[in-house]
Amino acid sequence: MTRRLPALAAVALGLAVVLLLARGHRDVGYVRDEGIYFHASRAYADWAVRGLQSPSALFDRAARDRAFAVNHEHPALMKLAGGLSARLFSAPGPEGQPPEARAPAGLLPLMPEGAAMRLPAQLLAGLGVALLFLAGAGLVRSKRHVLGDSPAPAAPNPPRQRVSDAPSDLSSEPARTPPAPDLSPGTATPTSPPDLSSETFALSPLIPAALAALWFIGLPHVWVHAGLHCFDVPVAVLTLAVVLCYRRALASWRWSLLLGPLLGVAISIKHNALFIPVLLGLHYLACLALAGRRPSRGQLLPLPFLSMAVLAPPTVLALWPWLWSDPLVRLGEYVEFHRLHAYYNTEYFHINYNQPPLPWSYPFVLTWATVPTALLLLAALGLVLAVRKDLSERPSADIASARFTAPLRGHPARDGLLWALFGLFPLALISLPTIPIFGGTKHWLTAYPFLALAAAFAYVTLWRALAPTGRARHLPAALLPLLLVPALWSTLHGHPHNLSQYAPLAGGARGAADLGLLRGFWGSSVLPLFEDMYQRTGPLYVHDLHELARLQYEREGRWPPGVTAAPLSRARTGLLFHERHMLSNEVDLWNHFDNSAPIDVVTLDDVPLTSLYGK
Amino acid sequence: MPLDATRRRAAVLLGLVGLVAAVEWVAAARAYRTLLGPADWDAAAAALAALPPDEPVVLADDWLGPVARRHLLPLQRSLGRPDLHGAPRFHVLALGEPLTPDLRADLGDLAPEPLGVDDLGPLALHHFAAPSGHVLWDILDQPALLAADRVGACRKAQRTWACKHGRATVRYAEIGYRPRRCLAIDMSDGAAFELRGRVELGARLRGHLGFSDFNGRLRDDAPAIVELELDGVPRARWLVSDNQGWAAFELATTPGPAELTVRVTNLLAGSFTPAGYDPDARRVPCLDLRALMEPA
Repeated sequence: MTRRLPALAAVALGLAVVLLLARGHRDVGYVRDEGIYFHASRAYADWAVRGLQSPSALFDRAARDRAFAVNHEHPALMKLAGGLSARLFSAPGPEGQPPEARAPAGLLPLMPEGAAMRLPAQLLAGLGVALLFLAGAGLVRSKRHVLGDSPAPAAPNPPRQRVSDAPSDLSSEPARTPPAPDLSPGTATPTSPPDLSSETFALSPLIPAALAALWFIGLPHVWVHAGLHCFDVPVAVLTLAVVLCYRRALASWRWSLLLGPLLGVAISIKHNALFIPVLLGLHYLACLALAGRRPSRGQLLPLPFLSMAVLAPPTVLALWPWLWSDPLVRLGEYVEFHRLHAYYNTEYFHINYNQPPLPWSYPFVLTWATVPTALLLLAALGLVLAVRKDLSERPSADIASARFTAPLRGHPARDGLLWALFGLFPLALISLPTIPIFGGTKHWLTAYPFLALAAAFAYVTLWRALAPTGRARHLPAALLPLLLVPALWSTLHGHPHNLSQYAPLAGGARGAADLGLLRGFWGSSVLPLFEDMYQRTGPLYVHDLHELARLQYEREGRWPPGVTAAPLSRARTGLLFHERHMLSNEVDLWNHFDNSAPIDVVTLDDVPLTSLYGK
Repeated sequence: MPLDATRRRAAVLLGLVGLVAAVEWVAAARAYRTLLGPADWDAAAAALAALPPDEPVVLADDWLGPVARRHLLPLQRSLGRPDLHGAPRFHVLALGEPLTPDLRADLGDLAPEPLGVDDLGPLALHHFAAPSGHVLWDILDQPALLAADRVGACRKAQRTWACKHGRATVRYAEIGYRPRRCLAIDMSDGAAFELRGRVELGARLRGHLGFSDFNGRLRDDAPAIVELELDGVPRARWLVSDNQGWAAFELATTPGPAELTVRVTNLLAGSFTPAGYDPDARRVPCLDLRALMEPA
């Protein structure tokens, strides 16, 4: 197999994901946060377009602050990208509405304004899938990997024999150097470390590639977030990109120079990325400690970290015009906002939590409940196998003294430690009792790309150790659907309500309702009720549907005409997005309408997500 | 043989992962489908229509409520019941286990006796008898009581008493994340709301008090006081706080007519916010009181 095939397949899969998200998410209602981001995106893009027409406008502080004051508690990059995307691709809104309530036509009007704003996040999701595919494909290299190596081209017809290069943790042999996975796509300097065996079990790189990519994007909660004009999947993708870049940067000054700006881009998407350098620092220190030798001077001030320290802050500053005035004060406000974040309501085993501490088990149980168990099991195996291998490896004695531009060149890659740090830290962080209660799984999606890679590593390692022969050699490919179908089934079936979807062993949405797990929290499952609303015009109590999200439907001509948002006291009909704590709003609807039977209910497998009440 | 051991371990681990995945296929086939079709709801509607109208029918699976009420109007009758006392026979519509923790809490110390089950497809209608007497009267339906606060009588209009210091309304309220139909007493801080009148007593007076809603409970923990007087003699006084949820109280009574006074005093009706005490962000106590007969 040529090396071009995985690359082509990665691009194709990434594009397919973008297309499916772009089309499929037209059926996903606008979530609360998107309403605000849509509004901010328009303000940011207006400013940017004015700046393009007249660059001096960029330095008009009052105009800049006016534009970027909207939703300044989050960095601007994705909103700016969304706004510019709408300027390019937005279809015009309906005729007859005032200009401020109507989407303007973009240069190439291909899609509704909201869909156009979602596009940059969807493109990043496609990029993430492609990166995972390539990184997964790199896991089949059957040679010891040290930093600075490149993947060797796979033999077109590798021999089908039993492997003898299984990792030491699966054998009782003393630690011979096992093959290591390669996270990094692409090539650098070709080297030829000795193979452990002249006979290598051939595993197509497409198998771990597909496993890693689909492990991630095939999950219902990843899928639903991947298509939104939000930051959670984009920051997960950028975290992956930074880690892949860091790995290269440990042995290459060019990648080091890219690392700082790339981290800046990640931080410009969401604050989760602020933890990346800390985790990379831990990994670096672990690599130095495990090397078993005194660090050289160059290793004490390594270029990758220098790059992150020097180049990331100006990148963040450049990409977030809100910080151009009073940067330190505004940065302080930003940190304080998230440090003192308001507590949300979240249901966990029939208890509504809205004050700390949230049980430490929350992110772990929610991960189990939303990710198929076989995939989690494989990821856990991958972490154990890879970390044990990493802890037993030492650099060869003859590597040259490290320079600060390539501080770990020739050292073992220790990817297992990277996956463990980045795969477990987000969950551990949310499990801390002092962390504000934010809500659902989206807050630790950054862990999933690394769990996906660990799962693919486990799959490669175990099949190599088993080394099937004859017809059985096709088993790794044949059994891949066995692993992936539960997740894909869950996602396909749950669409467009995947925010409320749960894994098969949790019993899906019905099982989660029985268990008392949160159902949805963003007021988005409303599109199927539009038909009823067309027939019952008048004032509508919109409950948790954000007014700005409602206005977005209106701008695109999707909101039922004649239906106006109103307080419950004046409403003729009322929406209710079902959550445990929303019962207080539901009883208000019963009292107001003197009726507790909804006109219509949006359900996922019998579980009510949204109800429309009326007289 | 190290290599064989390695292969064996790999085979076991792969087998384990594959087995879990296979179980997930089966679980997915069960989970990812709608259980309840129109025919199932029709069957349930017919079964409920055949029940005596004065016997409560409750839904075991709370989460199914909106869909179930849409198809089965009789379920609205029992919505927000204070508990399962006062119902010698009751019926539970359930997808699975009928006596959920919530329904067991509503039964309290009553031990229900299963009378039978109607299989309605995915749903089942369970019939129970409970050693509980009938309800003689319910404060929510009692028109003969007079209301007052400390500055005078209150005016009644439909389901609301309007008083100088606030109002009391019969309505649904969220208490302990469950719906209850009760008398929501929204008075100013420390003001007592009083109901007085001649009533027929049974073996006991049984009531509940809880606070609505969850936001108010989060931001105010002050208790409320419930007092009962019979024929001008104070007979009982309870201090109820919101961490008791839907707090039940009971007073043994001698059957026969009596002059009843019920007084509820909410010590603090507002709530505490980062900006201080906000009297407008309300946390409202909600009362239910019924006279029950001895079980037959």
